[in-house]
Amino acid sequence: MINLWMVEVNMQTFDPRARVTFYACLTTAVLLVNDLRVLAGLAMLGGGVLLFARVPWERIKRIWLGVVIFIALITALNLLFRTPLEAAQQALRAVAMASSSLAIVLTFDPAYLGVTFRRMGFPDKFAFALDLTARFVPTLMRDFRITIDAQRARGYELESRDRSLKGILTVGRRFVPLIVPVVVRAVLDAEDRANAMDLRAFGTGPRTWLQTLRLGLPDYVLIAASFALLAGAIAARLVLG
Amino acid sequence: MAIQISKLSYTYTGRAEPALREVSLTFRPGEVALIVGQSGSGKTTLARCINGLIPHSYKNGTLVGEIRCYEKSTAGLSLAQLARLIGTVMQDPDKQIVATRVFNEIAFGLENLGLSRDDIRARVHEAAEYLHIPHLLDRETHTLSGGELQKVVIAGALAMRPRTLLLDEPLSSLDPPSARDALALFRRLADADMAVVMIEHRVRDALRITPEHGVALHQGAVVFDGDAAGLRAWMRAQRNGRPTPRLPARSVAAQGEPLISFRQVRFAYPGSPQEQLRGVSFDVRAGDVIALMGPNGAGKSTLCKTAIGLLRPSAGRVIVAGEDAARFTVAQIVRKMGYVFQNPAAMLFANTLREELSFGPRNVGMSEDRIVATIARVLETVGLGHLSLDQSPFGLSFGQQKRIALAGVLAMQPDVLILDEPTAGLDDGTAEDLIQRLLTAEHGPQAIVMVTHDLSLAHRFANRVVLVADGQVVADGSPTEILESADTMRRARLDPVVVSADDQSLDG
Repeated sequence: MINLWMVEVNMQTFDPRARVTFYACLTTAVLLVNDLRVLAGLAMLGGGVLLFARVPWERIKRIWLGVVIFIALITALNLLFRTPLEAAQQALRAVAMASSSLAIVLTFDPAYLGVTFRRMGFPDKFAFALDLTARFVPTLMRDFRITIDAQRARGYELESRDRSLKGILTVGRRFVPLIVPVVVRAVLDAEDRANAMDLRAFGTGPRTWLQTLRLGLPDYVLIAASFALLAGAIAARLVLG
Repeated sequence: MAIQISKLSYTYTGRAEPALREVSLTFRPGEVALIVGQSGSGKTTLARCINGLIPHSYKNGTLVGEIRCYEKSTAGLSLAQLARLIGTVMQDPDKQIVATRVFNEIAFGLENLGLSRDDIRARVHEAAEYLHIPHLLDRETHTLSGGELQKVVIAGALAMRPRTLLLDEPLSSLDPPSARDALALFRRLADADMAVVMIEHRVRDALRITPEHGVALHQGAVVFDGDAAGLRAWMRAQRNGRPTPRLPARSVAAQGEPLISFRQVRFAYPGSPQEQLRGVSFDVRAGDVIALMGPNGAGKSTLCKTAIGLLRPSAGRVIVAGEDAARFTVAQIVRKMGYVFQNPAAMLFANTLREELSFGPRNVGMSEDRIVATIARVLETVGLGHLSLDQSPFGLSFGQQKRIALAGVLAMQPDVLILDEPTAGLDDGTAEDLIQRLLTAEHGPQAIVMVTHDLSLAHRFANRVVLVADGQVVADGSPTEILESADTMRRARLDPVVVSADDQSLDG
């Protein structure tokens, strides 16, 4: 929690539009710059944002394990096929983007996803598609769990004892009985969902978005800081290469 | 008149046969109309014509005839205008939910109509109050039970203040207590002068709210149009033309050592404050056909998952063929215990039936020669022997896919077969045929456990009913003893079966 002109703020108190703007600017900055010192600063900023979001460690420790494995993998590949400088750049970029992504995603109320993008000027259908995506994620995860159980009930085992390259490829192929039912079901269910939306007059005219959003002083400060960050990144790219 | 249909015919694009043939019907305000018919009889197509999905969303078919809704021809109405006149609730409420929060879900249609925020909030609260669900408004939709989901979907439809409510198999995914609540609601809406048009397979349940109007469809045509008593008589006459189902002799008495034993099995999901299973004990022996029953959340599916090792008991033991199941992997247990999931879509993945049906047997190490012989036999067992093994499972009807899913597990030749809601989504004739074939199969499993809400199925085919509530077995005995005992059934929050000649003749 920080005190900004007597207003106590944390990540969740910012308007979602301000948060999305910050995230977009930070991501663009990370992709633009190559200088290791600047990238290190951006990685620290990303980490700071995650701390500021106050997401419980228990909730993100498994995700971080995946992130660390991913970073180790890309660093190793860069060291193997490119240069140590590029390896360091990619690792810092990954830290900055993973930290800020987690901070934004885990503090975002999915019920506000659509209206956020609508108020940022995107069309109704695009904005609602984002809402639907947020609705769909738990359903997909549930379907995936059911499919894993259903295939295990047919003697299916994902693990392969073969550690050779052939064994790894076999594991890849063995995902097919898990992926196909989930994808086919999602596609078929989409028709029912589209019908349900048609029957409730979706897309027949301008719609009201029930949630309202209001930009306050801290939001304007964050938006201004975000564009300043982006401008700084453009300058760093031009000056430092 | 709420809805007047005149000589309506519809043919889907690319199909030679019409899905509806010269249908003429009238539905009135203040009445519940019950529409029955087998799968493929045209019920869902009729619903799509009434609510305007045909022709607005299904544009390429051929539509002839007219539908008038409150004296206006629907041909001249947009979907938005129709949505204000006719609210629709489809078969699976989960597929109709589009928002992450209940409040937003109920508000969805009103937002699309462009109403003011104050109006929307007022109408959402009004619909929630009417359905007694204000406590759900702040919940996330993916955390709701089937019965709660359906109430939310109905609230979303009612918030648009339609004058007709169209229900396409509204009871299919509900347990008996939720179905009873839903039916009482439909009656209440009709008594408040709404026209309620209900398509339903669970005829016996639907007749309990004494619909004023009954309709039967067959091959797209109206074959009965009259009152509920007439519909009951008509269905009884149809049933008399079919052979009486025979119970296989082996379902009369079970014998021998237990094939599977549950011994004081307890289980709690990680993070859950309460146990889903609280000391469950019973045996399954050769010859048993057990109906495992109870309300949603009673622990039935959790129990079945412990049987094949998908979940491991936190206390107690599951003993399979005399050995503790804890010593085996799932892949080892499923050689003895087959488990068929409710929805075939959860498991079908292969390009051909041959590949699909070989998957399980291959996983458990069956030889290729034996697989060829076995899959041919199980296809016959489920009544699909006429299909080519090179055919794709995805081109089959839902009922056929359900049979393929069953065949895929039967091909592993388990001693005990667990079926999760084997008749859900099937019409009476198909469901009856499937169970009959399974019970009379020569090389079938030695015992069957059916997880089911279908009281009629349990009453007619099981030799034992195991009643589960709140994670415990509350009764275990013969179907007559359990299902007809009001006291026993109420302990599991279920209604007893009232056996009458009429009822026997109506369900599958």
